[in-house]
Amino acid sequence: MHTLELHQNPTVGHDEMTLAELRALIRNKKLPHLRRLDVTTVTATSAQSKSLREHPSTFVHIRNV
Amino acid sequence: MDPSILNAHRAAALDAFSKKEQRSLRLPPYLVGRAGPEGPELGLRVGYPEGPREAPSTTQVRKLLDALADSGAPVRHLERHGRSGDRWNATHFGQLLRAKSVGELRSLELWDNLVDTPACEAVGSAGLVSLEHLDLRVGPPLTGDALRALAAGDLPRLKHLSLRALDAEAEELLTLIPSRATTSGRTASPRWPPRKASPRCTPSSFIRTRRSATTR
Repeated sequence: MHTLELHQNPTVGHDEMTLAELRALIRNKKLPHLRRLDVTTVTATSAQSKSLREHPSTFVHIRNV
Repeated sequence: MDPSILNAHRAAALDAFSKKEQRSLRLPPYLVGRAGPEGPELGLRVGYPEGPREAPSTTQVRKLLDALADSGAPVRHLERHGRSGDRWNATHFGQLLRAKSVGELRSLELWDNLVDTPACEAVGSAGLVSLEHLDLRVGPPLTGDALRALAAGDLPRLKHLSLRALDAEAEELLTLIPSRATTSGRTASPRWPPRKASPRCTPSSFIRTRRSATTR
């Protein structure tokens, strides 16, 4: 899979998949072909966003809504 | 590619419907086409925001898909943007996905208030072996069961996955990753532009071309 987009809905109030979990997937090379990760979320802190962007093989775009 | 070639395929597909049925369903605006890497391709954009108010039912869409299968041009894209109060039944959606031409789909975009797990079961069991782009934004957050139902289907060419909110574990997301390493061997088809279609491929240009052809 090359591109993964997750459009988290802030109004629902459910248990979102956290950025830490996504980061673990990328770090552990569970998504070896992933080139772009696009996440819309309300839970991302700047540190979490930065930690996800440290992997040069994957373009990460996080929108805090 | 000459737009008249696409028009011919499109007209052949519409011939399966009577003129009255075409008018009542406003079918022509839903059918779009483009020059793909392997020849003309058709796409169905059902109930998109700019479209007619009255969207065809799943039965009517299946009839159209079956007609398109015999027209000679593959159907590569199916798009459904539902409105509130106008939603598809998940069971009927599953029956729609048993249409003849569905196996050729490379792009499926479904934004609807369908129940998550039945809709994912329908997609998973449809045999979408050519699917590359899947944009599934159904009503409630997708659960682990819904992801497993999707993964139960064989989606070996899936390259682009777009989902609404997930209420699942990250590991469950991995079930969707194709087990066979086909993602690196084949270039993905150009993505169907949802709202920025080429001017030659817009429904209005089809209609204009057909009208001008009949007035000559």
